[in-house]
Amino acid sequence: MTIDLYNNKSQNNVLSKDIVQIKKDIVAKPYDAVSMLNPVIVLDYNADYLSCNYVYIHEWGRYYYATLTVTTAQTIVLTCSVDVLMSFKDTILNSTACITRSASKNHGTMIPDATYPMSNNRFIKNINFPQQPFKDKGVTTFILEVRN
Amino acid sequence: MQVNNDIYGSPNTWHDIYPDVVPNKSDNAYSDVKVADFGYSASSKSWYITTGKANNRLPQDVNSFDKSIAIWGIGAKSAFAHMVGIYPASGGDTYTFDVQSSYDQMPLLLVTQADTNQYPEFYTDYNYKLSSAGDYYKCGFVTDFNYQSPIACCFITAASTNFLTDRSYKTITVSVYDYYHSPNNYHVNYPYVLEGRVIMYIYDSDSKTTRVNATPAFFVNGYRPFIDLSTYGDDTQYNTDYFRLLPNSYTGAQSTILTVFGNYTQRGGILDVAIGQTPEESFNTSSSTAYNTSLQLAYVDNDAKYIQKQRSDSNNYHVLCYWESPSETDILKKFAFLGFWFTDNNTADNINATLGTQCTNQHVYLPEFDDNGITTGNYWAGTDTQDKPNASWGSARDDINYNPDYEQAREDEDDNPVSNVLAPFSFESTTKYILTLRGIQDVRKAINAIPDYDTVSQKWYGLDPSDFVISLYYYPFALPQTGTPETVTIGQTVVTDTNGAELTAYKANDYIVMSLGDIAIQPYYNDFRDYAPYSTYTLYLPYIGTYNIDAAIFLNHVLSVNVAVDFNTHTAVVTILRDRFVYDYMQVQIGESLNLSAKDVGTYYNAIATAQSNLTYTKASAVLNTIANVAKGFSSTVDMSGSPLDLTMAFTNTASTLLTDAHSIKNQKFNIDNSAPTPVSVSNAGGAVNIYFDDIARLIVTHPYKVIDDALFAQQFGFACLEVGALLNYSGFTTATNIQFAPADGITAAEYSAITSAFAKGVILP
Repeated sequence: MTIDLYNNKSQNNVLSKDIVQIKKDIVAKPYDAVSMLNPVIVLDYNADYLSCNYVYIHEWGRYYYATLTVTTAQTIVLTCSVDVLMSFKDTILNSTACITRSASKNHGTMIPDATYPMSNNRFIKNINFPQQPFKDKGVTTFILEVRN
Repeated sequence: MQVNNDIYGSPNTWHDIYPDVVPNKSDNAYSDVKVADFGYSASSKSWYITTGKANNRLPQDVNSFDKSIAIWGIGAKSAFAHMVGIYPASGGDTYTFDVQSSYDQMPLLLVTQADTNQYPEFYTDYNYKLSSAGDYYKCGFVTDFNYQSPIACCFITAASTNFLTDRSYKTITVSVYDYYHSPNNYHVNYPYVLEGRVIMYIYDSDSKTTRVNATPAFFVNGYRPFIDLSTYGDDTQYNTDYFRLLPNSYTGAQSTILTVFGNYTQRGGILDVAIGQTPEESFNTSSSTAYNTSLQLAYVDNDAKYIQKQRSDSNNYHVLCYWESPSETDILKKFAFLGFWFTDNNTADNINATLGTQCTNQHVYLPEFDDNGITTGNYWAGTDTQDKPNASWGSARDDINYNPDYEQAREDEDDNPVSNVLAPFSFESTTKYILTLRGIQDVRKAINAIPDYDTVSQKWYGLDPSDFVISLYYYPFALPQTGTPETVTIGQTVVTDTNGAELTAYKANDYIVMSLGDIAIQPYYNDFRDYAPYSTYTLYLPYIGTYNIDAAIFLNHVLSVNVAVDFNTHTAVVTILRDRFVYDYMQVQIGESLNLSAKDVGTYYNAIATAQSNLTYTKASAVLNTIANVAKGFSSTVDMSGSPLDLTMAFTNTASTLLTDAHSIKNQKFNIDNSAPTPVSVSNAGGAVNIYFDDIARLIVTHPYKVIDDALFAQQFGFACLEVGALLNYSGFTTATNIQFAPADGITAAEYSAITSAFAKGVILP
């Protein structure tokens, strides 16, 4: 199979990974019969490959997270797992979904957000009414009701 | 006038007026009422008051008389009122008395009809009301069967004596005859209880009667035995304990002379007996009338502790009476024996009772009758009369179309004998004065300046202003005042200020509506943080309480508040409007009653504690300290032994202390737990407790401080939303559910699931 080796700088939950190509179009052999989602690939040792943590397999058209292991037999074993986000990026972006949280919405939503951390401290605003019939503290009034 | 012939017969069968005919005492029960004007001796006259028995002509056949009714009332519609004449003793004009509408307010009088089986001796001795609006005389007699003693109720108005200009007096001589026990000489031969009541009227220039604004000096109350003062030395004070029981050997006691004797001072256009002076009675020994005897009788209040006889000249003695307060209950009981409705608060200007309506006026007393129709001396008043059929103002019996047969059928269904008096009283109206603290002080002074009037008849005069005070409510803020200030009058008492000028005050209407105006509630964060539980909106209304405003309802809308204060219930109805439409309302007590009854400190303390527990900032520890200070202020200031108005002053003084305490409250920060909305809190303690609250009506808004940069929060968590859209329209941290994938080749189910799981946790989109 033909693979490209990359160094991935992004977190796994990033859809479009920030990757740097190490070596392109390497012909490698899988380690025995492997799964498409979690293949294991064996390469001849090359010190340039040691920074590899991300792989693209041409035959399957998928990106993989790779864990690199150097063996005593002067080989490099890449234990891979498919990155569905990067592999199907265009498909995902063109899909519709019910969006429940989004950084792009900023504060435009009025939906209560229990995740949002709040301070226990508050600031108070007093908005006085235009008319203040109860003002004049200290003025006492008595209503004396008498029989006519 | 229409006459009910069924009861009274036709007018042509009525007793006529016979000029120059003195009724035959042997045939008639009658009494003499002699009126003399000491200052105008030329006009002195002596009158006989006759009953309908004269010339054996009864107003109706005795068999038609409704015997089940022991007491009959006479009112303007009663033909009985027209059956009485006055005969001048020495010739002259004859007067026919008619009941004038202006006298309906008089709480008189009765026609009595005894139970013929139990008291046959009184069966034919009718007693009638005698009245004359035109000649200013009003007199009536009733028989108290319970005592088997005639009791005279004399109502006399001043005729020619000019009280407006003269220091004057009048005398009435009342002779009481007892035909049953002394058929030969008609005079009492044993001590009778004679009850004298005098109401004085003054005719003003407009020929309107005006009640004398004071009690005449001789107007002593209670039930007084006759005593012979001639046996006692002059200018000596005696303990009346020695006079209470009269010797049965007294005979020939045929007349009692009561002399009006008082010092009158001008006040307010009418004259008044100087308040605070010792009442005096005098008796005159020089009258030339035939009814004077050698016996010198004085009329001494049973409750007078001491009397003192003073000889002022060769012919006159004055008896000074010193009173100890009689029991008002005893007096009322005595009145109840008379069997007619009576009042201890005759505010006669308000006659508007509707016939047939139930009288529950607390100042109108209804006598009780036993199974024989005899008064028991017990009485009901106020709500106690609600289940009493005879508490109805008037009845079908008063109707001119009354049919006694029909009435008898009704009587059979009644449990109680019926006493009917034609609505002589009135339902009262009230005046509410808006007074300042200074004004209240003047009122207190006015009340305290007048001696304790504690007898029924004196209260009829309206002399005791405290009787006219219905309620006193305290409002810790200035009330709007409209109209024209008017003189503060309590009963007959005109309140004056410290300078002696008449105290004036605005009158309060039944209610006022105060608008606080509008507040447009705007967002601060313009997102969810402007709503609960993050932000709170509390409507604070001084002396009323707090009310939570729901941001979901009012944000970006206009909040308006109106406060309607009801001066009848002293409650405030607060109307909360959203965009000028009513959203909610609440009713709270806003006026603090400082009524005439004493309050105890515990009541205030509990009210304070209750109010505090209901108020939002109960949690402020300083409040508790303030409560303690409040209680301390009351307990240290209020003199519970003082008058209620003293209590008012004490409270007001305490209020100033509370104001100081209020600052500690005012400065407290709201410590609102952001995990729970603030509950609606309405003070139920009224203005007294709330006095130390802030007096600015406002909307108190609290927002939380931010603890995280919004960009950082967005990067890490995104902001909540709930919308459906293409993911390419979003960026940054995004969570999503229910992803509808665009067509794609070769994606396994596991990969779809993985993508869904990833978006559940959050994916950072480009």
